[in-house]
Amino acid sequence: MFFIPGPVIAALTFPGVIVHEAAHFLFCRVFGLAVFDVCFFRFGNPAGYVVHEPTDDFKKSFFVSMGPFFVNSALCVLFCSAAFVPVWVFEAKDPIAWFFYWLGLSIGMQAFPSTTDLSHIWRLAPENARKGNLLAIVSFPIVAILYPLNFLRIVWADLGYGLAIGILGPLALFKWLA
Amino acid sequence: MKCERCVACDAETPLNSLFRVNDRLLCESCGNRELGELRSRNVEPTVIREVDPTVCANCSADFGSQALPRVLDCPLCANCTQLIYARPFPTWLKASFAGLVLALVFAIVHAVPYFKAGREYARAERLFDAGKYDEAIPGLEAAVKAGPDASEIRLQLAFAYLAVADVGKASELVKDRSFPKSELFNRVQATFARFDKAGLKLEEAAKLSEQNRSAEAAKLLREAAVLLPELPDLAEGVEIMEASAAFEQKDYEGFIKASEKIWNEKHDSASAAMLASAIACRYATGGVAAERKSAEEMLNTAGQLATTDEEREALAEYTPRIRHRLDSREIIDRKEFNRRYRPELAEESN
Repeated sequence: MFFIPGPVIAALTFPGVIVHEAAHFLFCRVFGLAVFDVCFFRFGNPAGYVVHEPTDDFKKSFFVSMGPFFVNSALCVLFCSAAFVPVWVFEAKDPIAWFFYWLGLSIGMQAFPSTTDLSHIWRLAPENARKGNLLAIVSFPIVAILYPLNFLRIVWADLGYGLAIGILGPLALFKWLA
Repeated sequence: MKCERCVACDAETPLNSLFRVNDRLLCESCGNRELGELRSRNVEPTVIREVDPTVCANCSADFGSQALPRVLDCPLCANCTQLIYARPFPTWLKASFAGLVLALVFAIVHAVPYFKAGREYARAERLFDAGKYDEAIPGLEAAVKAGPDASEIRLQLAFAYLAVADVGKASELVKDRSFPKSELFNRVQATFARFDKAGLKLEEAAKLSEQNRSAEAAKLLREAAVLLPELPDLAEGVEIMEASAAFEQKDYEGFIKASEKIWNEKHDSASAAMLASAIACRYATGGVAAERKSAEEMLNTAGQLATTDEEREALAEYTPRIRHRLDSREIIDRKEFNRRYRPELAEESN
């Protein structure tokens, strides 16, 4: 295992950072939350951010926090699926296919919500779960898995996740279609 | 705009320029002085910037005495409130999104030929796993065309070709290439080794056959047939060689028996001609007219069964020898026959 500084990883996966912040921003707009400041990409820590109005509405909080996870994951599967057969099945030296695989992987690697995003959900989940909010109940295992994974980024959990959905997703799709 | 007095210097100052340092309302210069003193006394300061509720925190527009509505404790004018609630997506972001969608479409279009080959490969792989190597070959060929560097696919195709005994094509696929060690690689390597070993035996058998040492050639052929179950024709070759061995040893009854066995297993021009030859040998030694008739009939049958040029050519080479046997009742081998009647072929065979 070797260490690569976060800003370098962010630079290598910059499309993922932009998609991640754009997804936060999009869901803020969808749910009518005020956005005070937004940075889609920069060489720094964090590599991008969206400063938005806090909310006690669980649904809004869930989608604004988890939006990037779903959007990035979906785009990762789509791009990796398009490049999966040439790259993994045929081991083709096709730069276009490899470009799309990198694009998919870089988006997938930036799918994890930050611990700040997860803590927003975690704060609101218990009360909403008690009221029978299904989304809040579902959010428990999601946050329970993603929270430690966020810390495991130091051992490439984000790359592992990107590869997992960038290989297993397309593989399942390919097996199903073939 | 609202103004308040600094409690230290009593100067009237806009509220936005005042600070609350440990609950004392101070202008910036007095505030800095106060901070210095607090630090020198080791007192932890708390500093809060005052917010003027009549000045927009975003665009700094002054609304006189009118207090503005707050968003997250920040007074904001109507325009700025609208702006932060409906902050537009930057143009470059919209353009990038459009580019991303186009890229996705392009990626899918680009992948279509690969995907078609992939589907063929998936089907071929199922056939390969089921041991239907001959049926798997077309799909594997398409896959190798799509991914010439894919080691696994190349090895699968090589193995499929070996399974149908097309060593040439299999060799072409692995020539000058290195492969990572795998179970399939080991299988391909072992099969090539088996073909090599059998090839040497076949080569030796061919030499022995040329020297009229068919019994020894038959033994080697039998060993080669065991090594190469992919080539069922080899078993037939063993029987032919055993028949030839019987002829060489002048065991004409054995020759007939072996030829009949071959004929019964496979009705073709070559097996009919061989049986005709064997019966002709019996006629040559016994002189029974019925044997001659039987040999003639078998020779006719061979003629009728010869449908390809190759078969016709082989029969044209064999028939004169059988006819000579029937006409002269003398049994001579091909070498002697060629020496006497076809010197041009005798020279060739030397």
